[in-house]
Amino acid sequence: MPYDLLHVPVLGRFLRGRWGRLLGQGPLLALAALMVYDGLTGPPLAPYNFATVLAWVHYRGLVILALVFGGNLFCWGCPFTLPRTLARRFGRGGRRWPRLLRNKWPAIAVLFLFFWLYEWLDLWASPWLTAWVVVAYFVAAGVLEALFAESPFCKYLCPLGSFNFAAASISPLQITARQATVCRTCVGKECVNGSATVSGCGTELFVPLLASNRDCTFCLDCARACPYDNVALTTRSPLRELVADAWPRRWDVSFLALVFAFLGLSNAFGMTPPIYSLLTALAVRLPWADEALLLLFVLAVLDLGLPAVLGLGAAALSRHLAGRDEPLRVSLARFVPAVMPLAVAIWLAHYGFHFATAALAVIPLTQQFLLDHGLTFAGLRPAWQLGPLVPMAWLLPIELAIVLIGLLASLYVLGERNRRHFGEQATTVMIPWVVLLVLMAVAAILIFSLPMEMRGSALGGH
Amino acid sequence: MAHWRLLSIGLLLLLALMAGCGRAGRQAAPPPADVVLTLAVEPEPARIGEATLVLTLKTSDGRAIPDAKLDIRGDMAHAGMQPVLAASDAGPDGVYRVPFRWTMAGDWFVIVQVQLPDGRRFEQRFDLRVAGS
Repeated sequence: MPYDLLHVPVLGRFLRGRWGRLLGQGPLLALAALMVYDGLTGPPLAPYNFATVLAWVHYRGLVILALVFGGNLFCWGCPFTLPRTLARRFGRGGRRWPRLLRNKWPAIAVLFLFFWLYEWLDLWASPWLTAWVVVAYFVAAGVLEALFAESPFCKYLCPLGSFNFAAASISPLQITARQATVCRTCVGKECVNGSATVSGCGTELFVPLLASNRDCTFCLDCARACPYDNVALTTRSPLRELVADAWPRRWDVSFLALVFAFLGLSNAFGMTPPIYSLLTALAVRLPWADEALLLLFVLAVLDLGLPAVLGLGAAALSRHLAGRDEPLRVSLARFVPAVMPLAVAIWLAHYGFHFATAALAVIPLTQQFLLDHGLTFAGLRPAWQLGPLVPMAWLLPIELAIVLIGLLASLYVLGERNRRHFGEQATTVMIPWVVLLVLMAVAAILIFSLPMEMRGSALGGH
Repeated sequence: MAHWRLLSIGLLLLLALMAGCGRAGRQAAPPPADVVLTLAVEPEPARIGEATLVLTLKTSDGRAIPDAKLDIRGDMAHAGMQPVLAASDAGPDGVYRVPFRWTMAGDWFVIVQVQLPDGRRFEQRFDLRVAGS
């Protein structure tokens, strides 16, 4: 039985209230300001600076934990949309985002670009660059909102949003309509069109048609705008969206899922010794030795080429085994949702590792920050020995367990989708996808089992 | 509209100002001109695992400084790793041998905070790369 959080006493009233979202946005705006301030003026060394610690340890860890155990809470509390709201008020919005770009291809491109910049510029080692990334988010969200009527930054471009939308496919919370009949007789469609006092859905989702968390920022504008109090934030099975045919059969949507999965592998691979051996070997064999181009080449192969070849290969093989004459796009969309549990598990294992390793580092960092500003009430000697949440020896077994659980969940989704589309007997149809999922899980286990190595050129500041 | 532009310009100016400024409170004292601190690691080159930091503290004219107090912190270039902490206050002939452990391969920096026998304090940073086992 689904449970509606919007009708929990106090909590529901608060979430639906006009200023409810500010509970998330306010603190995150303050933290973003702190990151910019410390990143631009503070120590240039990553472990000593809020910009790098909060962005690459805490944000990444907490966002994936929130997505797995709750929902898209960080889009709900996203501070980048605050200047966006100002821009909407003062800007000359009204134009529509170009039709050609109203799909997930720009999101895939920006997501890839972001991770390439992350590796090339060693963003993880540079507080100064990390601070400018935060500033760039504010500027991009504000400018695009000022220029266009919808929220193209959130829906089509934001790499954080794209990550969150993809991972939210296994979240246990989703916006739904309480009673479909109420929506059928609704004239104003305020949830998407807005009312005189409340904006409608920024990403133009229509609540009664929602079958997934895709493009939903959890802003709850729909709940505030609905004159019938007919919007619910309900619990659901984390695999429901993936088992059901909730995704459109589009190339861009399927490819985003695959890229999301392979980015998880390559992002973890980027922290191991073989990536440096690979880059060194390529620098000798390829006509260009520039690090940016080498990384672009390697990441393009790992994040775009491999998912395209393996995803399309699995789709083509399963279509052949099924003996169906259908577009490859349909065959791909039939099974690609099954990749998501394993993909999210890989991200959780990776980002969860960093969070578990260094979550408590924020305590001595705060002590040092206060000391640097002449405040001594938190102690005169920062407790730099603080860091891990759990014994380090536990981390690898936990990572491997997460990957295995992800694999099992993916295989379950695959089996259910196969049964739904081909019946109980046609189990051979899904074999190519079983092979792909197992290969991905083995790759993840091998990567996580490797000793870590992090090199960066950002030593010495910006 | 004018307010919006004014706000944007103000924010940009503030950012430019912040980008151009370092915070005075974070500036550690540099080594005095009459003191030289050097670092060697054993084994050399540095490899993941147990190690010894060999810190040599001398005056600029080569005389050993044996009774300084050294606080050492090793960090990786990225956030998210527990620092390795060590200390020493015994350095016969100005050579301080400090047991240490490189916990991961990659880029490290070692920050040494020194309190000289005459009470002066300074801080010096050494960057190095640690190889895998």
